[in-house]
Amino acid sequence: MKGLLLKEYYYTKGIMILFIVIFLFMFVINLSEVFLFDSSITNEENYFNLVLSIVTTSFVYTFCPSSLLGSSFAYDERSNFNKFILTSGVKRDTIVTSKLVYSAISYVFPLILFILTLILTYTVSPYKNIVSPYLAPTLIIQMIGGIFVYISMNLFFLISFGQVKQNIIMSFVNIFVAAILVLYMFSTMFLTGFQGLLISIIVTLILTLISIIFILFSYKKFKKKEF
Amino acid sequence: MEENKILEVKNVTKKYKNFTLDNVSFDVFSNDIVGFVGENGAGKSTTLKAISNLINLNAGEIKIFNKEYDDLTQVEREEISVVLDEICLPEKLSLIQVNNIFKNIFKNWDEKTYYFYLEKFNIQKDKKIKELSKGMKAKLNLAIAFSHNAKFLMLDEPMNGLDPVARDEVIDILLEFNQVEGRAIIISSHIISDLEKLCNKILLIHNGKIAINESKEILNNSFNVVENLTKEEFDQIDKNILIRYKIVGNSYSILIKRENNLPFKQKEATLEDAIVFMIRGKTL
Repeated sequence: MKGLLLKEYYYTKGIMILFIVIFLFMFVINLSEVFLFDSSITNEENYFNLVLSIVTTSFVYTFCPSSLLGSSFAYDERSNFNKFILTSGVKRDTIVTSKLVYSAISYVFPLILFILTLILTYTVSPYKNIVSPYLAPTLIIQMIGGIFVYISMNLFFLISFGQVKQNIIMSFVNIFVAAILVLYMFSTMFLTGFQGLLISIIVTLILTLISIIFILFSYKKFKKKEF
Repeated sequence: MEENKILEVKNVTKKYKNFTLDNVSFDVFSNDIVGFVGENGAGKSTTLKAISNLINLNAGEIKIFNKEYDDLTQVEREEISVVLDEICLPEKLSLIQVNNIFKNIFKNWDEKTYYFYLEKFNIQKDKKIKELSKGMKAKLNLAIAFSHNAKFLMLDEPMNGLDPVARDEVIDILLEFNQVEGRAIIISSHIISDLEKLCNKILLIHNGKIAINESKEILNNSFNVVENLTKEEFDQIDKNILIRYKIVGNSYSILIKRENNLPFKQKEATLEDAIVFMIRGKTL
């Protein structure tokens, strides 16, 4: 497993650096919006802008890292790496697990940045006294739900159809998933209280269940895959 | 005998849309070097894929070290090494990165052996895979195979892209590898002269079926070739001694059993003659 993760790191080091730059850029933009408090407009308008900014950032953080998984599969397919390591004793389940772990790792940095944004918003931003205490857990739960469903769907389609076909399929899936996530995340802007948190928990539980199904099917599919 | 068996392939069938690997059976024993020959598309790679558990079988059974693939332990799985005709690693990796990856994948990975073979094959370790020639990539494949303590090597066209000197070097290395008790090699190649030097058994596959499964010695000492026979002369031949025939223009060439009383000028069939007749020749 460690060797497979190291291989992923060597493969996608360049793309990872690019994403880190993008995420840092998003982080700075996000913070500048949080800290640019314009006292000439009403609290409600400011609050709306704050939530919009944070939700948009969380949306980018959720979508971007999944392309690392696609790149990893693309490199594997181009070089027939999986065919090679399967003939060398590596178990099929280990390969799928390594992809899952790699995906999870690729979300660590954006999640940290996102949580940091929320912490700063709650502690030092001009909004600290008006921001709802339910907003942060609601957004984090939503983001985790989005990450689960996005990783699992990507994994399933990559294993089932290969990287090239997956790109086409995921373009359509992306529109569908994005529409759901946009509705889901942006609903937070209007449901900022306990009600919003409750809905987020329920939706995230449903998304987690869907993700587990996709992941189980991914393992099953990869077990029968021919090389 | 059973305990010496490294590989047992029994009635293996794999059906594709345009090709069927049909009821293939053979065994490989300790210290065998089996030359696997056949024209392109005959089923060599499919057979090796089946042995490596890369494809699902329609029928049949494969045992390695007397166990089915799924029952092999991690260490036993690592004792099988498949060298494919291409380098199955991303081109952007350096050879040092390859070592870093494999020492964390294989329990049996031997870093010293890896660098020893890189040096032996004159491959600089600081190079990236994309900077290697085709021949060097083939040698890298072998270096990787030798570095995880493999006991059973399956080599699919490993000589592709190698110059005669490098091929000779690889043959020597494979012969040296096979000196140790309990090891075996199955090697597919189109270069019969290499197989002649290397193998003790020949496995010929034709149209998805095993056509020859015989020791090299028997193949080398069992057949004669007669060329330029007329139709009348061909018709006189005892069909019990005729193995295969070919029509070249208006004349006939035949592969016959060595023990015969034919009055025609004969030459001892080489391994290549026997293989070519088996693939291209016809039976009555």
